[in-house]
Amino acid sequence: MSNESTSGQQATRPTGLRRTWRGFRSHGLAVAGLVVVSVVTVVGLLAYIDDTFLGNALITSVYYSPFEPRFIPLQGPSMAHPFGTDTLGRDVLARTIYGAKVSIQVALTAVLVAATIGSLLGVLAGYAGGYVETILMRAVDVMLGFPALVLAIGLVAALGFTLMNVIIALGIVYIPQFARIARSTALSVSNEEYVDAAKTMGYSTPHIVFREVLPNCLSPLLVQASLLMAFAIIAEASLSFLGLGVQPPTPTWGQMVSDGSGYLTSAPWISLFPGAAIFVTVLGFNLIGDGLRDALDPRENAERRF
Amino acid sequence: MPDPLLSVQDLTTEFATAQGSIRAIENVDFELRSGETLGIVGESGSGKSVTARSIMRLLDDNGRIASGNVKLDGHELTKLSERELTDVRGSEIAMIFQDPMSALTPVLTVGRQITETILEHQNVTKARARKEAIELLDRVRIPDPESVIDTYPHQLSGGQRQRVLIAIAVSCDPSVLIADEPTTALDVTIEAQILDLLKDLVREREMSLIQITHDLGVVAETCDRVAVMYAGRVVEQGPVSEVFVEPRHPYTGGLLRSTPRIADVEPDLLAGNVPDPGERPNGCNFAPRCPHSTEDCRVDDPLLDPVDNREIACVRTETIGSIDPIPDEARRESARSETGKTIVEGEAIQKEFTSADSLLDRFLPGGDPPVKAVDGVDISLAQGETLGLVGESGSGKTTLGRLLLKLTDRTDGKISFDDRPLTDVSNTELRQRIQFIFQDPNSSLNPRQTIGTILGYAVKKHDPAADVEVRTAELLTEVGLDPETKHEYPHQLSGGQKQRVGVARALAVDPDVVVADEPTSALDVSIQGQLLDLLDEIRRDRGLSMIFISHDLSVIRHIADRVAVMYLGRIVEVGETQDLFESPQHPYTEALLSAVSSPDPHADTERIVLDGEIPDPKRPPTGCNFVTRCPEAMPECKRRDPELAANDDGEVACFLHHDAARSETDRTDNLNEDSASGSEATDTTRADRSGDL
Repeated sequence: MSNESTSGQQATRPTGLRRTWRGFRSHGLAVAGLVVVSVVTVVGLLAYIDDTFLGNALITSVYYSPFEPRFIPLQGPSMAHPFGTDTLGRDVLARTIYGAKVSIQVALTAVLVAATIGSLLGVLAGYAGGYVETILMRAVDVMLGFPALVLAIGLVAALGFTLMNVIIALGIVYIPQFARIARSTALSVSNEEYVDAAKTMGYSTPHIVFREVLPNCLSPLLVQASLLMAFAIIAEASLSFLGLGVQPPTPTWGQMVSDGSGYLTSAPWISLFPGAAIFVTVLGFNLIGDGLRDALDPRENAERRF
Repeated sequence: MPDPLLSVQDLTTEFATAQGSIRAIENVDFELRSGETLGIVGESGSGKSVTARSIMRLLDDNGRIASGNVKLDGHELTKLSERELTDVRGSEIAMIFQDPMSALTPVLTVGRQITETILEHQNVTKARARKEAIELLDRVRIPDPESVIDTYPHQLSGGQRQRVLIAIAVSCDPSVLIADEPTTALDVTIEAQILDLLKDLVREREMSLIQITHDLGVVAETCDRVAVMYAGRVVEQGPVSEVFVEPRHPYTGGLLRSTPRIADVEPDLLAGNVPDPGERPNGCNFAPRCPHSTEDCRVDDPLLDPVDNREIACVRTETIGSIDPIPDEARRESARSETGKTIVEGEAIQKEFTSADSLLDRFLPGGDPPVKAVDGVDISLAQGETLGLVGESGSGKTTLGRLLLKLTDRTDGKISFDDRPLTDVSNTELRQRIQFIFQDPNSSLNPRQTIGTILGYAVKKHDPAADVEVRTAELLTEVGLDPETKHEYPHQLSGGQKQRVGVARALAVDPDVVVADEPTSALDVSIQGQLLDLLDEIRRDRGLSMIFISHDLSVIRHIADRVAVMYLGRIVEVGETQDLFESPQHPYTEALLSAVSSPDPHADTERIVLDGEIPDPKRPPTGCNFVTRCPEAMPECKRRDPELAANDDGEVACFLHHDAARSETDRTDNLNEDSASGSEATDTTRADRSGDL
């Protein structure tokens, strides 16, 4: 009877994670996006360490301080200042590098918060159905009724203009996006026979939700997370641009664009470079999202042809 | 001999995959003569569908014809441009697909979809096309074609949709019709109707038909010639009356011998699996599974050589000779298991599904009546017994199985487990004593967990102190898998292996009762046999009681001690397996049995083909549920509902037998009295009788 197990062994087929990576890797633009995002993340992380623990020692030792107005204001790009200087005479490159800190910090944490809460609510609603679903999803619908940015502005205005509050506000704003996706995925996953099988085995509800349903809902959530990361960066920049985000002197890209907006004709570099940083990072996250979506698509060979 | 209508020569089709290009079919060669029906038969992965699609040039984007010719009436098809092809498709060659549910557009009426094809290929007016469409619908025996023509596909049943597809396919009088498993998705009684229809159409319109199927019975019944495919190659072809009676290729023989038959023989199983297209062995593809293989077989691909009246691809044809298609080993009829006391008992079980979703529906009158999925079923299962539950789709057999496990709440009735009402049995106990084996191995295992994890959870749940590693290995060995399988993910296993894991999971809690819901319906014939043997073995070893749900009578015959036949939410007949198969009492059971096609081309082809389809369960007929389709319906049947009553050969819910049985008892009871009043059947006498026997 056991001949089936010996002849049918197919050890060469890669498992989920490796297959996804293979699919992702074959997607040239996605890899480019990953490189961009990795660079920005590393820069942001270094800036964070430098600012919080080293008192800006790192950046001043290799370059200029992003805080001290030590140079002639409104200098155009040159060898000494590749991105030029701003209205107060600070180096724009140094500030752009430091701006990555806030953007990455806000995007990562806000999306993480939103993804965790949203996915849990959504999966619960999708699996439980009935009144639980009705109550949770109607609440989510109410939140969706507000345009995301308007809701964020309202929340930050109420809570105060600090980094933490920006994260909280964006985290709350993006919960519905995750909740809706998680719910619809959980709904279809709950109809799979393995969920019935788990019930038949007598597993507890938490076991079924966390071990059987949730892991199978992750793919679309992951894609959504990388796309929302891009939105979060734009949202943070918008808040800063409006002066509702992190307050000066901490440099953020949105704030820098805002600072330079009065000098667009005479000194465009002040806005141009942080604006480009926003653009490239957002593009990077979007490309990752697209790549992930294709790589996680079960129709593995859909795009292969002769 | 006249020139063949369609000739396929050396056809090779390849697909681009992540692992490089893979040849799905290699050097396929066959001919189709005018007016002939050719069967292409093989297990999944044999390349039969790819062959059909290559002829039609309907390959996916990643596939292409690598070499070979397809000639229709002397014209080469492989070289035609897409534009030229559209003229050929539909008007010269037409195809019927497997799944009638997805082959019709849901947004257009049936009429639009038929007339579209007619207008595309013929120069006629719309009104004329519509008239033709109505005629076609009538031709494919759809009742009331004038009104059906304006319905949407979702309003039709599966069988009717398949008829519509056939109507579309034959609308432009193609000379060749390719039917790709046209009846696989349908119930047996509907399958019989469709096969009959195809046969008649071929005769009436003088078409040639290519019938692609995995079912040897369908071939034996409908085809003139057959091409047997294995792993992308034709291994044997010739007249059905010869190939199926005296197979010469070991694979043909093995396939015939391993097919479970309704007759009383034990299938002789083929070992192993069909190799995946990328993993075909050197030499003859069948050599690793072939009982006759030698070293010579593993050198070169054997060519399809003409031998007598047929062609065979085997280097050892001369030595092997012809093979007996029927295994001589008789069924182990001693199989009747030792049974103990009743462990599961159900009385008047009912389950209704309401379609009232919204609040408004619930309060407004005139909504849909509830669907009575299970309508007053009595059932009992003794310890160590296997009860087969047979019925077509919509008969409520799966719902009944789920009710016994409390996976669905019942509407009414009593179920007791181990002499206690189900409500008194704690959930924990119930889950450890009754287990379920699911139908679809692709969906019943969590794709994100390794086999080890899946089984580990089950083992831990049952006995937290158990050594998970050891138990997992034991379980895997018990179901005939390598213990190392635990590192694999479900998608790395074949269908048969996955289903074995499903069995192992059910066994992990050491249950007393297992409900198996069509565990073999998704598997190939040879794998199906292996799994059935495994289940039978485990059941014996562990003394399990089992409820085996299936639509396939030959599978039921193989495994069940007792059989219950369900129709539209009710049990119509219960009996010992042998009695029920040899002398069915209920007309429905009789029809079911005769609808099963036998792989023996000389078998008695006198079949009872039931008219119509299962009625809408929301509006069952008054009286006997089966009255609308019963060939023996009496006026009595429309008035009253027959109850399940016992007699010598089991229990049956049919007035035909109530009366016969009753007048018999009357005769014995009133031997000396001259009583002829046996025409009134009353409930009390029936109840008495069931008590007597």
